[in-house]
Amino acid sequence: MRQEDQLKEKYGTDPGFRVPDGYFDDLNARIAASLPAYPEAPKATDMSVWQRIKPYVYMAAMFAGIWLMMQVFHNVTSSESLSLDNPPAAIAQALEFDQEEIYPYFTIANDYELEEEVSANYDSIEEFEQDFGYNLKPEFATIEVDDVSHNPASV
Amino acid sequence: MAYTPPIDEKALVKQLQDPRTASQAFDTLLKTYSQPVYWQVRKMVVNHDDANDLVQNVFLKAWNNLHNFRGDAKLSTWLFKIAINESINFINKEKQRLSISDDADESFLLNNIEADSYFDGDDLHKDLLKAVAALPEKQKLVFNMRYFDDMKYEEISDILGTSVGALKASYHHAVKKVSEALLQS
Repeated sequence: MRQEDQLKEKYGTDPGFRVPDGYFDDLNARIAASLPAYPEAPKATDMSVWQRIKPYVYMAAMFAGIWLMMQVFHNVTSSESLSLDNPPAAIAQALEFDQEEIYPYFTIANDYELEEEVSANYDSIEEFEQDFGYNLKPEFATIEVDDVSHNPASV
Repeated sequence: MAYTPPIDEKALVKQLQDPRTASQAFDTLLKTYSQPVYWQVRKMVVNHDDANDLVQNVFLKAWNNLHNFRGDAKLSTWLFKIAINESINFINKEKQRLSISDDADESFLLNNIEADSYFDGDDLHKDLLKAVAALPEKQKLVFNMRYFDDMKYEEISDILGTSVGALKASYHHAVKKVSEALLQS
């Protein structure tokens, strides 16, 4: 018997959580009652610092990924076989790095945490531009890079 | 709890993005998705009161960002993404508040499970939840969606932005770890 089937047979698939009676009707009513006025789409100048820099962050992450990939392909020699069971170890091997050195680069940079960090440290886009020596054009800030972008200040 | 919405998504999205019909359409959104979103959050944060607060935040954020939803993804996918981000953020803040290392697993969420009046599981349930809480974040998410909710890999892939192949591998490792923790103990 497969391990999954064994688990399901012994433990079932109900985690044992319950809610108060009528909870979801009440929840829906509470949420509906708490909604503010219909939100207008923000103009570039009204956007948070994070929203302004997000397209650049994502593009930088993409180029960093391409750079890493190119390094891997460049360093892989035909005489060495790479195991893909452990991608960080395989990449460390290809780059001739110590595994301990490369693991920090595989820490998932959650964009949500990055957003919190930027929002906590910068009140204006000018401060961010000054710190990093960038000039972020407002028109690029309207590029939508995903579907869950939001302005934490508005919540 | 695989979920197939009994609604015309395209029509609903159109109504949500029209200020004249948005409020009524959002009621439909709530009726359709508040339960699956709640259960997803609850499995991550365990405690009912925390899940209750987080679900309200999820829908408030969805409302405030209706203009950002372009309809490329399913509404459920969009809401689950927000829910997962909110839950991860909550868990990280709890770790900070309780001075728990970022690298530590999430079994601390089960410390007060006996005090949660909306948990009626037995010792087997607790053992299973503890084993799941010890999984790495991604494996935990995949395990919750696949094992408890029987979600399709394609749907999980849309929500987590991970390939189906990688998800199958994650689930395989997760099941193995949970089994080893439970069945061999």
